[in-house]
Amino acid sequence: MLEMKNVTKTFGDFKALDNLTMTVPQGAVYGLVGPNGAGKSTAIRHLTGIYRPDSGSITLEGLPIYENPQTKQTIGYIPDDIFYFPSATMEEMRRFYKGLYPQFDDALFERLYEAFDLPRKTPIRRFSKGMQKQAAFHLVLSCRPEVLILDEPVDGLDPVMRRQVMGLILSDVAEHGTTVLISSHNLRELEDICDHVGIMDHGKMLLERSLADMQGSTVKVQIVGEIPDGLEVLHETASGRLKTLVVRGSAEEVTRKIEAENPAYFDVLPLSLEEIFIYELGGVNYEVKNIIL
Amino acid sequence: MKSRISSCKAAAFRKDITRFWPVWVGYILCLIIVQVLQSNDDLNYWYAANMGEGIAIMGVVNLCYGFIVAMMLFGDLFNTRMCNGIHSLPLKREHWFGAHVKAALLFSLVPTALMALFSEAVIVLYSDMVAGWTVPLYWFIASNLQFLFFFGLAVFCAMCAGNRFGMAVVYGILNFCSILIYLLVDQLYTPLLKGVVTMSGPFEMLCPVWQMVNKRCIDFDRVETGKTFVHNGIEQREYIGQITVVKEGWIYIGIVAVIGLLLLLLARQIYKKRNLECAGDFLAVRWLNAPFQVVFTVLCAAGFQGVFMVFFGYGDRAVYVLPVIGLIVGWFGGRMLLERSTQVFRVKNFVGFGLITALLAGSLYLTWLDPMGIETWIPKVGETKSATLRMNYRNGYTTEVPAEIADLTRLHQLALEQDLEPHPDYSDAYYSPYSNDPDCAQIILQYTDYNGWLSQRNYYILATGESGDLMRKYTSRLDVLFPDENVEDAADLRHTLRDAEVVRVNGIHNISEECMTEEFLIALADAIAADAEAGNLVQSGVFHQEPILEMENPEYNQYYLTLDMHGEDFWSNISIYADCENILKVLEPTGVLESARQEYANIYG
Repeated sequence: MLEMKNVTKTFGDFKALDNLTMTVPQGAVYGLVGPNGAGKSTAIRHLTGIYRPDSGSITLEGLPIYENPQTKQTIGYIPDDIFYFPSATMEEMRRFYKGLYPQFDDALFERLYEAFDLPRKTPIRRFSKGMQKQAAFHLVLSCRPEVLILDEPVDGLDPVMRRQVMGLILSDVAEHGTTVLISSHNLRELEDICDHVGIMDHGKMLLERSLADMQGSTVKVQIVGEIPDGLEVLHETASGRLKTLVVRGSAEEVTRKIEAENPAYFDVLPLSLEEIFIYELGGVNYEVKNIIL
Repeated sequence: MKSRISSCKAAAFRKDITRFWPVWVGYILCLIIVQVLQSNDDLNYWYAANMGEGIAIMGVVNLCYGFIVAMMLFGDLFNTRMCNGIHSLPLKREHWFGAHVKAALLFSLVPTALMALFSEAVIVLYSDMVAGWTVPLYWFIASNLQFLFFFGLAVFCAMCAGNRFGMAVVYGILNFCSILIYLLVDQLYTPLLKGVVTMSGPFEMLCPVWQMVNKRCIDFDRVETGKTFVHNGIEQREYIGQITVVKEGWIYIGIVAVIGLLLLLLARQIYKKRNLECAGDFLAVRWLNAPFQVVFTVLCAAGFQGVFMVFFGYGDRAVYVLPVIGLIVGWFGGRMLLERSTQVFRVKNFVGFGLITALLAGSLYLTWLDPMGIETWIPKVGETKSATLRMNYRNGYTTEVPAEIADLTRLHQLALEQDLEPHPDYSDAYYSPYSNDPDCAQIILQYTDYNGWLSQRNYYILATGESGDLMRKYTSRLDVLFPDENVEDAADLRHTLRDAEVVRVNGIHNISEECMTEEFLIALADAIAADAEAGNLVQSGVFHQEPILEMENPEYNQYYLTLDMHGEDFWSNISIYADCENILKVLEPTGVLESARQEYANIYG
């Protein structure tokens, strides 16, 4: 389990992380979402042992990450700004990573050439931005990390390559049980692959839940008739006699309550992740639209 | 798990070596090419001699190379992408540091070792210098100790700075601030205290590259073997080169190398605590901002004032205008660097600028008030180990005898009482033995106390009365006139002049060979000794107001003559005046005075 507890970090007078607590369960695909400037990259730099927190703790399986090479050897990190030595080629970076990560998988590295089709002996700095991103995936996946931390990973990739990269990540999760943390400022990007989501803003965690919990705890209902008492309605619209409600509670529980009132018509509809966040956070004065649009 | 970490460290070290190979390979080639080019085609003596003397030059080379190596290896800290990328990898900061330091030492050790081996082969094959084989060894050790210091200092600067420019500025400040402060004190504060001179020694001590360039580690000499050989039909004496190890130079290099090592350890500690988010900032350590701002401002003031005055000489008014310009540039330039913005002209910063300007003005006013009595200070005889009286930098008298020190402090007191203003034509009056001012001469008094502390005062003093008598007593002496020949009395001078091959007046009027007899030289030695004893050989025209040669044009009516004497082992030159009766009496029969008179008549008559 990857965990941040009450982490605070200040840059000069600016509080980048404010008592942030975050838990990434083992084997989860965790989406860290937030608008630009929410503190996602800062949080990730703490999780990868780059920054030292002013207060709080950051651990992986109970062991500290900061200045702990043994723990860091199990973490693969792809930053938003790709790291490579200025004149290095893929082969030189392979040799370097091989020295740093004892579990480096040469066979996988060779296989990934088929997926990414990157030149072996051209300096990485000559690659396009998208190719540099691919090179980062190529190298980091070959390190066989137990935890993969990706900061805005598909920025700069074309749709085909996005799909391919996400596919690789998911197959890695499926085959090796890798824990994945992906940050993005776009919720739609994460909807299909994440099973846990955390929403950050102003250095704080607004909401952190598993997708199953969220989807099971909020339902959208269309009803013709009286709204039964005891329903926790988060949002209500009406079109003629047809009312559309977003209600907190499981589908079974909500159905039971509505059926008890015997309405003229009712139906339970699926909610998208987007809608859940809008209605969950709707009462809070956050710019939720920033992470959805 | 330990072996895993070792392999990580090895990977980082290998990367350092391979990533920057062009630099250290280029360094090897430069060393060898420069050394071969300056050998003057003389592989017997000059190759080794130049290599030994090159230790001083290596001080400058290592000043640059140490900085370049540190910037290459630790430059990743200044770039956010590289800094974050590297520190996300599974290595502790101390491991990165260790790998970089090991690589840096190899960057110096390998090129210098190859250079030393190459030179060793050349010296063994072509040179018969005594113990010549040790020269490359000394060169190798000295170069690497110098490198250790400059690299340690540069790494320390890298840890204090957040970007490359910041590192360069901090490195420059730490290397040269003492010289800039000396310029500031010498040209801004010292002139407010009459007669007081700022001694450059303590400031030079704090400038390592200055010391390395000026302190020798090995001395070279050619000594006679006692054998002769025939070259182009002429029998010549055979010489052989030999080296002497100068302990003082090695002690200095050893001390700075230890300081370099300590700086490296300090830098390692700073690195462990470094906040990596500072990458790109000017300084990495926040609390250094305020001291940096003050130091940078003061040094800019010193730089503007000192450097412009030294190189361009803008006149007296510029002395106080340039520091103010320097303060403005320093204060607001410093803010711009720290804030990485040109938007620094805010009220808060103007208040700061006002404070530092007031501080400078206040310190100048306080210096002028002289509450510590520096201007009127006269050393106590009992606290003074030695005292020196000079009229110029060649001829001076140094004494440790209390009675004589008392005489010199009395001269000091007379100078303060006379309170003469400097002659407007300062430099002429100072360097020439003939002063344009008929009344006063400039003197230099130096005192060394029992702690080795040296102080100096420069005054103008009357050449007449008690001060004139004291001057004649201590500057018209044979050991002052012949400082390089160990001449104490007439007998010593006879012994020295016995070997004279040439005696001439005013550089061109030689005493003829017929006149250059042993009797003539003895008579000349005795005459010089007698005039010195009489106090007539003070090497300044203000003590000798009568013209030696009467000219028709009264405007050019005061002349002195120079008497050059040289033999195989000595070369000396003194000025003679109209009151040097004994010398003139000996020279008159030889006809050289008449020749000189004719020459003056042709030029000025």
